[in-house]
Amino acid sequence: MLAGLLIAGIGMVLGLVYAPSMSANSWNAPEAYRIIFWHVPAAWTSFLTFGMLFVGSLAWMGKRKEWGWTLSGIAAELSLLYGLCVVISGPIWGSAEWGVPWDWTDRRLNTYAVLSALALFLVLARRSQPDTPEFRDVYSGIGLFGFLLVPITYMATRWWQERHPGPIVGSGGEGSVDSTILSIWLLSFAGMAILMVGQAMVSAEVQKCEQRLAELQQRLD
Amino acid sequence: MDDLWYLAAAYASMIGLIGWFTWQILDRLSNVKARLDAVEDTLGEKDSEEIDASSEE
Repeated sequence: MLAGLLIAGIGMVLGLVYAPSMSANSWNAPEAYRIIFWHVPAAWTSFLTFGMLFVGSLAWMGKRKEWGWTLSGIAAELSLLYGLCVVISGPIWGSAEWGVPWDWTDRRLNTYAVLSALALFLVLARRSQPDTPEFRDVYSGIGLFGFLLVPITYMATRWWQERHPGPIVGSGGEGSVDSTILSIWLLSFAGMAILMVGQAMVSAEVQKCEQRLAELQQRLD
Repeated sequence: MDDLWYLAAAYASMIGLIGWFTWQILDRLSNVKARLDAVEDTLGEKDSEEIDASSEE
């Protein structure tokens, strides 16, 4: 986790001091654009965590694997964390650049907001509902549905080019980006991905210990 | 200058969120490990008392 934090931190510092400046003539907020050096990697990391949610949900729904249930719980929390990073930093940049924090007509913003709301729902549901097979099925079904939104969210800017900037990776050259910016993004993404794996491992350890504790407490009773 | 305030606010919120989440899972881990150790100690004592009692019989 420390290595991930360090690498992501270096990415942030490089984004703040080394990345090229934007022209004040073509941007309303030429410095605030530097938000993207964590905003974009956080979005990519959230796509990874939604992928983990999909795998966990599928493993539970298809094969009733206990590890699938554990993984989907961890992934929902991490999806909420990185989703919140995106939906908080995005509107801050929107306020600076567009003059409004949110554009309700932009499908990329709205599909990503639904994705993050879904992660919030899953985290709250898991904490408030009794752990029954029926609940696990509903939870996993929603987790599977959530992953369907990932490609839709990613492609939203290509299918309906609205306010949010277009796709960069896999754009076929249309959304070419400065190589320095891309390198810093990749560095920050590597850091966040390592951090996320570390957080997932600690969360898994917590769940393992809680399970063991419950077993021992039963023996005590 | 306003521009930089937006930048600072965005990074502060992201660092705060990631830092808070990381701290709370590490805190949860140390808490649950402490509870687990306590229960294991209690069970260990209980088991050894049971062994002592059965050997006295």
